[in-house]
Amino acid sequence: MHLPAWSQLWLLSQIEWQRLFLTRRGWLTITASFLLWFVLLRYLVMPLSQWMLDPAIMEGAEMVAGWVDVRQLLLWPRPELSLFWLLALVLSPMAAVLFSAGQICRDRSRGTLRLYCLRISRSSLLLGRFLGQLLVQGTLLALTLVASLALAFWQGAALSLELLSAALFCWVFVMLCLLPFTALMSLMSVWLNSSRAAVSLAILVLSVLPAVLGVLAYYWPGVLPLFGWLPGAQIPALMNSLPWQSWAPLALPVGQALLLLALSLYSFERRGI
Amino acid sequence: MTVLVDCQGLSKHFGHKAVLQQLDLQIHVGAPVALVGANGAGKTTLLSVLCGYIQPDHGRVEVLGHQAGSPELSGRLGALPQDAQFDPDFGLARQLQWLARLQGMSVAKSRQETERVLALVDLTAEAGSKVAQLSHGMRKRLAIAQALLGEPELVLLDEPTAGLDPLHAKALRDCIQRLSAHCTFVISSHNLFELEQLCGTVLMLEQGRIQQQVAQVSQSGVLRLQLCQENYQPLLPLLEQLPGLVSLRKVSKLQLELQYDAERAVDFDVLLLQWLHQQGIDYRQLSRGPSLEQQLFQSGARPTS
Repeated sequence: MHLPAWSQLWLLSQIEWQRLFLTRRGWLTITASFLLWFVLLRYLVMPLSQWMLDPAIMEGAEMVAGWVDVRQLLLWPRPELSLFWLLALVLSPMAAVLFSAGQICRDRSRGTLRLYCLRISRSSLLLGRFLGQLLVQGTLLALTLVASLALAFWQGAALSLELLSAALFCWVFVMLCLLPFTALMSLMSVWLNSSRAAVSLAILVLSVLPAVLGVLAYYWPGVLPLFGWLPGAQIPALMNSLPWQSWAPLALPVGQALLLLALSLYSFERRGI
Repeated sequence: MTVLVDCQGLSKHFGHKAVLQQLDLQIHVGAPVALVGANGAGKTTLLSVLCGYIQPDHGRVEVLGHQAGSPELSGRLGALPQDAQFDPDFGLARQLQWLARLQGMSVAKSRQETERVLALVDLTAEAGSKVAQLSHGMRKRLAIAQALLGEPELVLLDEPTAGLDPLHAKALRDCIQRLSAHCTFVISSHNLFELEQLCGTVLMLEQGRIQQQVAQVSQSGVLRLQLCQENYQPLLPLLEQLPGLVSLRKVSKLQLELQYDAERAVDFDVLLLQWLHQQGIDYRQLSRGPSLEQQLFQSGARPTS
């Protein structure tokens, strides 16, 4: 009487997903996300998209702040969606670090993990939790994407296949960008005993690694290409491109996520619980 | 006899401290087995190794013919880990159903099993409550309930009655006695009275090794008499004249240990009860053989190593 591995993963990810809607902590997450995106949509996306809808803007379109190419943003079916794309690429990795920090450590410190590990393998548990976090983040991202589309319709956009497919590409690409961050938190959660410590170490890793590479690159320019291997390295390039143009930049986050997950599984198998 | 647990040369260190040292152990199908020992003797570590929560540094561990921690043990091995808590944000029944589903049960079967184990630990009325709303004792009973999901062949219980009120501790003992016909329990506890009542074999861990193994068999030739009052003292010379009595020892203020010739005085216990009745001495308990405490902490126990 054994549950197939895929059923275990699905059940575990469902449990994480239910945590979002059935617990007070989950509703706090939803409320915080809702308030943040309400402020962003109302006070940033709405006025900026109205400005971008002006045809005259095309003539003066150029780089903003040195790294956002407004000309690329104007190629989206609607400016609301292009601005959502920019914001989601910047904010979602941060949300992934914050929300998925307790994947393993919270249950380990409480002893709940011991109840699960009597029934399933550690690898199933870790992968199930990882998938559950993706499901949660995917749900939150989808809700905010729907809010952005609603704003677009409210500002006069017509329902079109082009708009819906752009929204779908947007969701898929942002989710793929989140993979290494969620996997990194999986690793931090295996190594450390509290969510807070996991977030702190993740921030340290994500900020110290580029700094260390910067110092190394000063003395040995040959290490410069390593910058391209850091989590989120592809995000600046993605900001100035359209998601349906090329899947190539997404090989890096997928590869990073697989590597981090393999490391998490290796560490988890060897750690006492 | 089927071997449920087989450990050979098991060692585990935490830093420089050796918690288990070259421990050899076999547990067979049968009556509950007790694991006793002082704090830090290695009881919880041994149970954690058997459950696969921690890896031993050296040695071999097999549980139900599989390596400890193997997914093959799902549903066959149940355990009450020390201090393991459920998620406080979810309801009892919901979490038990998840565990049952992960064990491989269908949705309907998982509901049925959840109801069964909640009834066993008297938590049916709280099935819909969140774990955060439960008292410490109720949480302990819930943790015991999960160990019984799916009627496993082997159940490891670490301090099962610690923190339980006397009523529920008794109910749990009754439950273990009832279920031990179908599954083997290994119980780690400091409560010798409880273990004496429940277990057929007692293993004493000391400095990471099994130092003693005591088989709880009713020993003929020794009776323990617990009296109600101290006014029996003047009657002791009379008691010493009872036919068949070999020696009389005062264990405590109200407890006597009587050794008798079991071959010549087969009905010595009947004689003793009649004598107590005639002398008007009230007694609380008459039991056969030395107490577990005496067996463990006085001479007479059989060392295994």
